Amino acid sequence: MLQRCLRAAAPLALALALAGSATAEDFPPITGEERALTAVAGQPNAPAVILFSKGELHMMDPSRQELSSELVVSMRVKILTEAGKEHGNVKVVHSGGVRLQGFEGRTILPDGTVVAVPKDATFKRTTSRARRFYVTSVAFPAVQVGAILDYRYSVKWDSIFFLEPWFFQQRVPVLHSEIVYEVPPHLKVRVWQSDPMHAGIKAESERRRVGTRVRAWGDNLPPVPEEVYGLPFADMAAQQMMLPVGYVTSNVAENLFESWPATCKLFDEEYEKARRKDGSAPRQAREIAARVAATGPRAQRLQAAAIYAFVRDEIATQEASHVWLPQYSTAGAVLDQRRGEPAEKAVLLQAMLAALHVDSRLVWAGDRENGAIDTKIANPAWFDHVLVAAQIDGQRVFLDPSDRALAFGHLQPGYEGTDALVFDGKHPELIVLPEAPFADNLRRARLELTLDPDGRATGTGSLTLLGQPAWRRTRWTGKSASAEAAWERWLREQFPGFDVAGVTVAESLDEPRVVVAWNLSQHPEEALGDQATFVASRPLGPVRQIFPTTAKRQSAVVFDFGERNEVELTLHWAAAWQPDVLPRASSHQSAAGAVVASVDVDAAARSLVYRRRFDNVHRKATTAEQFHLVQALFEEAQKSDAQPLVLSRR
Amino acid sequence: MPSRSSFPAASGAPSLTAPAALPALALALLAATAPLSAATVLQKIVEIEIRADGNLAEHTHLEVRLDAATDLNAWSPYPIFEDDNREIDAVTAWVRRPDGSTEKVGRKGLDTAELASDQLLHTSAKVRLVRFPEAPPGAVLGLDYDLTERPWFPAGRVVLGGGHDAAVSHLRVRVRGGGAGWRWSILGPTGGLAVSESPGEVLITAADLPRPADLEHAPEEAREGPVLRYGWREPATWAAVGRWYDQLSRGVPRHREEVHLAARHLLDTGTPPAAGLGSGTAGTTGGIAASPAAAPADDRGRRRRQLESILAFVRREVRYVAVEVGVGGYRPAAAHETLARRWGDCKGKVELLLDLLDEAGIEAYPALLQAGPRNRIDPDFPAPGAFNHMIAALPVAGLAPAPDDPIAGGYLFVDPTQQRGGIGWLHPADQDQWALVLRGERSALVRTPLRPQLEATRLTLDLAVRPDGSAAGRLRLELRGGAASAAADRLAEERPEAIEAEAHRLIASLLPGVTAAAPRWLPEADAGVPAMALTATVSLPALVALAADGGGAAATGSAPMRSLALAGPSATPAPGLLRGRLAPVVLRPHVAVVSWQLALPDGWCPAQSDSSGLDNAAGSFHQSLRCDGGRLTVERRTELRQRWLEPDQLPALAELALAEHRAAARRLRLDRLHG
Repeated sequence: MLQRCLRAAAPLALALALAGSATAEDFPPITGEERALTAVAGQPNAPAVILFSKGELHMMDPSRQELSSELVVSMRVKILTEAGKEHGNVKVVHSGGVRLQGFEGRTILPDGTVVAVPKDATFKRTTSRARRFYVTSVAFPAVQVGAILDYRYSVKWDSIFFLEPWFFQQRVPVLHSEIVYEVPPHLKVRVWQSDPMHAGIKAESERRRVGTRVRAWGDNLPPVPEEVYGLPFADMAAQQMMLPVGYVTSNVAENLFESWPATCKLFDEEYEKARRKDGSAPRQAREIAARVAATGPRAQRLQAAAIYAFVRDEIATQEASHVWLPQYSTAGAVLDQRRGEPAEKAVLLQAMLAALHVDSRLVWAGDRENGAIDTKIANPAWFDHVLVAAQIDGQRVFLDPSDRALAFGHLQPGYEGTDALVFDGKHPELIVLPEAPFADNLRRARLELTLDPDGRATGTGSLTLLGQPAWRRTRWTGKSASAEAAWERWLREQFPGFDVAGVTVAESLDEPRVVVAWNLSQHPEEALGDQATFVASRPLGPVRQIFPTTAKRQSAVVFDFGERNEVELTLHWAAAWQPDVLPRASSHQSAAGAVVASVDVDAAARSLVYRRRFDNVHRKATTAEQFHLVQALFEEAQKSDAQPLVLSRR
Repeated sequence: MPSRSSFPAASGAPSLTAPAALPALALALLAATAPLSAATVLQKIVEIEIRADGNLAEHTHLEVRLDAATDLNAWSPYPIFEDDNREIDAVTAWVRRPDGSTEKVGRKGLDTAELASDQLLHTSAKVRLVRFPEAPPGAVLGLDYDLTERPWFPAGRVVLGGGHDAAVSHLRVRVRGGGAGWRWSILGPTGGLAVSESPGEVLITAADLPRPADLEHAPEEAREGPVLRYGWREPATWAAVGRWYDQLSRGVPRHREEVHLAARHLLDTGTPPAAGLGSGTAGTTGGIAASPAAAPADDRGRRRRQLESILAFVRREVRYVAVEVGVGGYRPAAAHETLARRWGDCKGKVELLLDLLDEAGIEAYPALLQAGPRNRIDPDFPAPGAFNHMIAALPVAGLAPAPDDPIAGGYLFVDPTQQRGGIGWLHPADQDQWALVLRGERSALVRTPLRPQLEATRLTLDLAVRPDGSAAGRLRLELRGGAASAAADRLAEERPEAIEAEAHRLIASLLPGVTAAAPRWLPEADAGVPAMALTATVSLPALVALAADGGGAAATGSAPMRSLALAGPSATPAPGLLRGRLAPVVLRPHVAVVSWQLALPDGWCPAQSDSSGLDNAAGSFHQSLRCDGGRLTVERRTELRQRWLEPDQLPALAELALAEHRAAARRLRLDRLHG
């Protein structure tokens, strides 16, 4: 029952993020201040301002035979610039489970004229007929600078659960945002709030005859900044969540999301049922294991890896970002249909590992992109993914069979180092997922070029990727038809003026490792004949400063992962040539990383070796001091990489 | 900027082999997600019957062998295009695995999704999605489907390539039942195709068609493969297409009172009418109404001002939103409706513009065109299916044209979906395209003009060089035309700190190693041609390399040398791209100027000058170098004059590209600038 309710409510977050039977009441009157507003103090260039954003959530009360919860959303937006007119198109995501009840809207022109949104300006679109997902789009009429857009809609779903936060802040300034929860009397709830930008969220509650009314609000909220390598929206915006932790009547006392054990208990039965109905999974697991020609202590690991590869590669992954199973899902059915959501594939993997007596647990994980997890709140909606933690050779190995580019025991960077929950019906365990050290995430380029008497350079190159850079380029074809073509295209961009040929790509999925090799030859007509200039850091440079020293930074820096980049260029030249300009040696070291470059010239052998290493050690820079170190690191890398290597003919 | 694919090429284009033959709209929406593949199309069989009632019955059989692990993602889900006039009758799909086992795609593997995008709010176009189960390399995906189409115009097309850059082992495409007016044509390379025909029928077969080359700056047709176009019933003239459009739009209400009032308000007051739905108030103060005694020349000037005023209103006060349902993809919304809601698609905006202009007595016509720079219309095969945009064409005789106005074939072309610029600037996507000026029987194709001189970038650096080789001073980057318009659009939505950060990144991309401060964007408000300028103070730590630094010269005992590389954006593609190329090249015609002005320490640069350049059909390149009084001035100017260059035009482009790239690559020696 619980999971059915959760399933029904799944698109609710989207409904809120993107933008009703609205009541028949009139919209609130436009105030003089709203009418007079032309800009928001401290927010120059804001294209629009949300004058208010209100949610009223009435949670279903089973004791009163109510069948649905309802959220009524009211918004008032003012258009401040031409670019702000984009706010005149509103989209609401809904589904068969979360039902849009209606939509009312109007445009108020600067002169006070009111133009209602006509019925024929509302368009319902099916985004998946099979899954009953819809988007309703509304084009507001007469949108112009100075216009105010009012709209209101409601969504209903047949559950007491509403596990998503209400975001008070948006990408544009918000003058007032509030959420009101009407909590039925028998429902125990816990309030969670986050205000990273210190916007100032206030709350009050009031006991009523039919339950509790909780109201939270914020005023004059700044927009959430969007910066290069910035924090995710969910880590910046003020928000509040109301989690049901228990349902208590004279006859019933049910724990809901009161603690992690309680939360897991709610899910355990369905997971267990899906695992139990494993169909031919044990037999297939044993057959796969039997094909692994290994004995001894590593046999179990190799067999587990083979099963992991089977589930990863042979069972298609259906997109989903939640931890619960679809209705009636079983491991056997997923195997038969060769298709499943990540949670279903994880359960199947568990069932198959169990046939080999490999103990495993499900792990709930959340992508960093969706915001950090507060493990004090036992909300299953924190998590968007299910992994498997298998106990192999006395070690815990984390497996994600949903990604065909992931090696056994490796995680996508978005999950590395994040809080996760090892699922257990009785004793769940909060953990931090492992994170590979930066030096394991390596890009190493080696080039050997020879400058002939005519000043034309030819040679070979190779690029080795390990760790996350390898994951990113495993089974990668970019916009091309094959990996070779994609790499050739990339290399042509890195080496302007050169022909790139003979590209070979060797991917070793289970290390993970990608090795690319190629031949380079400068186009004869582009050789100048009397001078030759090289950007020695290619193809991994030149690095550019992405954190300008004079630009103001608002949020922390978050890279996908820390990494090491190494370039080694060996250059030979013909007798008539000599180096004129060489990159200066540099050595910059800090807690953020290192930039080290050197050139060794062997004049007698007419060759030189340029080496450059760029270490970006940490995934995150949160404090001002850390940020300045990262900024300085990129500054040094940019300076070092900008130096040319020039040879000329005597 | 609104979407440049607002006019759906919905019908007249039966989708025979989705996705490659999907109408442009659907294809554009799908292309963003579908990767290419290395797969091989083992069989592609398309049978089309043109029935006596004019409907099309189509059967497609497709077998695709997955050759790489990534191919499945390119082919699954597989979209089959549907619309109000195009219904799928049956779909069966299966996978045959390398072990010989076959699995049918069940009901759960099928889904339907309606299409939309940021700019296209709603459409009746949708796709049936066939989701194949997981399959390894070597597996074969199979698909059979039947559909029926009631075409809006009696013409269609079939892409003969495999789609997704795949090679094709066996191809068989047959269209029959053409009857009166039957015609067909193949656009693109026909190598490897065997064609046989009989009355009302064409059969094309091929074996072992290679996968298309992965080329940069290539037109879509080079990637998509050859396209069979066919038509029937109507005489094969553009006038017939014009008649068809006339009939289609005949029922659209025109000359409504609301529009009349709005036009009067605009003309009389010169200000936009209130959005109070027909509440325009007439007046004369400050207006641009006709003077009874106006001379012809004055009259033309007045008309131009009226056009400016009306066009500005439709561009800026009516936002671009597209809603296209069924034949509504071709038929415009009524002008009074667009006026009332203040939003509309390209057709709706043109319809409103024309209605308003009519009130001013200014003659104007709608014009269909293909707005994708990498696509083109075949002037020899009249059909509306390939157009995806609508603009307006005004006979120039009654106006007062300016020298750079976008005039061709006696028409001034204006695009009411542009948000920036005046009459004199036509968005680059509209330039150099065949436009069908819709005048009923007098409909005709006109090539829209190309105005590279209005599409320009100019980078100016005014720096003082210090004895250690470092330099500091001012940077100014001027953008004009489409680049300025795009930059202005981007900046309009950004916060000041984001604008500053982007400016830093842009400067860093122009000048490697630069440190910039106080970057500032200066928009030129209300410019006839969009214009933006970015200024900043910059410093370059090692602009001039001193040979002694590297040690090479010192080590060999040769004379010290000071050299510098003067970077700047290139206008031409890399010359290597053009060598041995057999496919056309598509470029962005424009002018790029780089100007370095350096104050040098005493004695660094003797007085000297040098210049070089060339001028050919593809464009021109000129460089001048001058050292005088301790000041070095280097200016490079490249003009690209052509958008679409056929292979026989590429030598001229290669010559131009080589001249520009060699000049940019050469480090200047201050002792002898001429090299």
